[in-house]
Amino acid sequence: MINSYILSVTTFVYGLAVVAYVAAWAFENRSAGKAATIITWGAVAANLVGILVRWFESHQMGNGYIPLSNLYESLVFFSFAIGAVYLAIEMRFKTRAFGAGTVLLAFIALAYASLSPEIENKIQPLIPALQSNWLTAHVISCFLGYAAFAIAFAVSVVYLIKHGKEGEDAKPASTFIPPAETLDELIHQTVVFGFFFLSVGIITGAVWANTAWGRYWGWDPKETWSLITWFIYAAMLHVRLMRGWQSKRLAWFAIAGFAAVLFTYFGVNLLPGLHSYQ
Amino acid sequence: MSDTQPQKNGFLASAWDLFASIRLTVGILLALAATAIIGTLIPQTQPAAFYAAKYGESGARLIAMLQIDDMYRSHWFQALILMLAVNILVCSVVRLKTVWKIVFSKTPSFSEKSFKQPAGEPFTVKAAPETLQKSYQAFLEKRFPTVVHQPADNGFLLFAEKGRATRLGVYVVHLSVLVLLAGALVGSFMGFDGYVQIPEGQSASTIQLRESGAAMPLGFEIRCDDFAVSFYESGRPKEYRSTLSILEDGQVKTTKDIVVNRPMKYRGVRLFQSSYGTASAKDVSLAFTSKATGMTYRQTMGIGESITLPEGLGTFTLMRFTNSFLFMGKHDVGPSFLGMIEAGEDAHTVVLPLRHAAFDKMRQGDVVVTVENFESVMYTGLQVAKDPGVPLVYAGFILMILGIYITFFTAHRKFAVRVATEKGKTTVTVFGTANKNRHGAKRKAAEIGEKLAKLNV
Repeated sequence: MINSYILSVTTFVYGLAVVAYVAAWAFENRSAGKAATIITWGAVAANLVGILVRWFESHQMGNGYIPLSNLYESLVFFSFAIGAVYLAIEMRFKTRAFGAGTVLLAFIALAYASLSPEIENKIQPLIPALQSNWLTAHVISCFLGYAAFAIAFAVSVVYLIKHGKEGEDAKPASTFIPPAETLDELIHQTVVFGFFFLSVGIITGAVWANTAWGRYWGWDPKETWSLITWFIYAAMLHVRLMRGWQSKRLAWFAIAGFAAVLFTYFGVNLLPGLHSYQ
Repeated sequence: MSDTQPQKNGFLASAWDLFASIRLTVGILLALAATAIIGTLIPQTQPAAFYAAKYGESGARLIAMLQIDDMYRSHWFQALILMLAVNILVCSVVRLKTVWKIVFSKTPSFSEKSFKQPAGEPFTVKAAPETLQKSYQAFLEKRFPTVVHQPADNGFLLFAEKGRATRLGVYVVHLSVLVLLAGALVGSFMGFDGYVQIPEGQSASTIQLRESGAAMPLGFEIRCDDFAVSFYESGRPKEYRSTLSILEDGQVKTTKDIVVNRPMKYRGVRLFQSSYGTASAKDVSLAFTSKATGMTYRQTMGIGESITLPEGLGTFTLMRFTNSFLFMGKHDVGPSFLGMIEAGEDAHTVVLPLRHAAFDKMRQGDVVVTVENFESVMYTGLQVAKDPGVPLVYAGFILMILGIYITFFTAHRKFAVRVATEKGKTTVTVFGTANKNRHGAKRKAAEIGEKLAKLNV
């Protein structure tokens, strides 16, 4: 299918972008940085085209649907969301310091989708449970949330490496990586964005569950883990209001939160329940 | 009395302080997260035998004692939730008063001290301060609900502000959580959740409750007029559709088609297409082959019917259809018809599994029976539920989305325009600040400055 071909190529474009961002950081080279940004725009555009072509191809086959229904399609959208949200942040905060780490996550997601023999990328029309507009709203908001949390994770890792040790920075001050206050601001803004979309995602999921299964909350592993993720980020947002809060602690929260995101996305498929991808 | 009272106040005061603290919030949220994990690792609401088999006798006993087998409804988990609700309530009560005063104050106060560095570049104008004041005030009043003039050294200050009400956003979020919890409470006390299987053509007025397994009368009858399932070419299900009629006192009140994701509602009770299966069969075409003569006789019959076979082979009764049959009490041969052959004094059970056409040969009887065709009578599996708490829960959802949006993506912004005349030169400086996203406020202030500079005064 053309769409999976386009998406396989997109994987390599993301990979190239990662290399360019690493070069930009290691050699503090502006041209490499500019190239990295352009390549990332290319990858995100190709990613989107792949999704649209898949949508079109499903219609050609007779049972058209928006491609968000299985593991392959969700991974493809996840990498698109990471790339798109990253570019927005790169523009707003005017830094390329997180390109390597963040785009690497997009690359891994898409590579896993394209290369894993266990992931079915054939277009299969929707089974009855998935024939609903809520599918689109729920999946898009959840993955926008996940993407933001992925970026917060990447920034937090950099924060801890750079400012993890009390007092003196471990490495000499680098102009490529923004100062601690900016990193902290970045982590906060991305978590806020992610928290909003995760909340919308959980809520649309609940409303959908109510029309499909007759109950808005059933404590199944996926629902419960999404709530666990929500609790962790809610706690993180409240920590900022406590006296004597520290950015370092918040960075660890963002890392723990992303671990919960990964378990919510992948880990729950190892447990029995309604939500497992087929 | 006076001895104990200070102590009492002391306890209440500490309890109040505890529940007014955000430290407690962080603790409860993390406790909820950590304990919720347990319920995903240990399967929930399974029969007692399951836990004994999986975790051993003492493990199962511990699980039951700590209510881990139904932990989200356990006393301790519910206590955590209750603590969170009280925490939210107390925190809001303690902090809302001040914010309310700020938001609804008729006479807001402004001070130059609230602003730090100016935004953008200060500029000079030729006009006199009095004319400037008129046009600047008009400009600001068009864009901001609150504009206040304050005289200052060598000139004046104009303050403008917007978005004071956004400070209430965070209280909306917290209220939404309380509304959600209230909705869940209402649902758990006044709602029910059960299921029922109705073969085509039949009706049911009692459902089986999911939690207790007890039967519950609905007060009305659900009749399955038709059930149809369609498949994609790949064999995956495309649609399950039931045509249901609701009857009260024998009269049809309404008829509707339901599919997954499109339930129907009657008197607050909702009916969901959940599953389906084969209940029975009709028009079963059977072939009877005589061992002696090799002749095959065919007959189409229904469940419960009997026919007399030729050649004195006896009477055959088609007893029933079952979705699964344990042959010899051991081997599950799958969906099967069961019959009985009576010849004289002998009576033999005839097992006819659909998966094995020639199964009856093994019986080594005088006649071999085979199933050639039949029509399935399907049953529809319906989930039947009522939850009067849903409107509250949905209201909570809307409040939460609105509240989070207002809390994080809108801000209370203040701007100041300082006009000062020194040695015949009039300088205009613009400031901007906000309780959130100060950079954005500063950018907006710089924009205002640029627009003011372009004004024809």
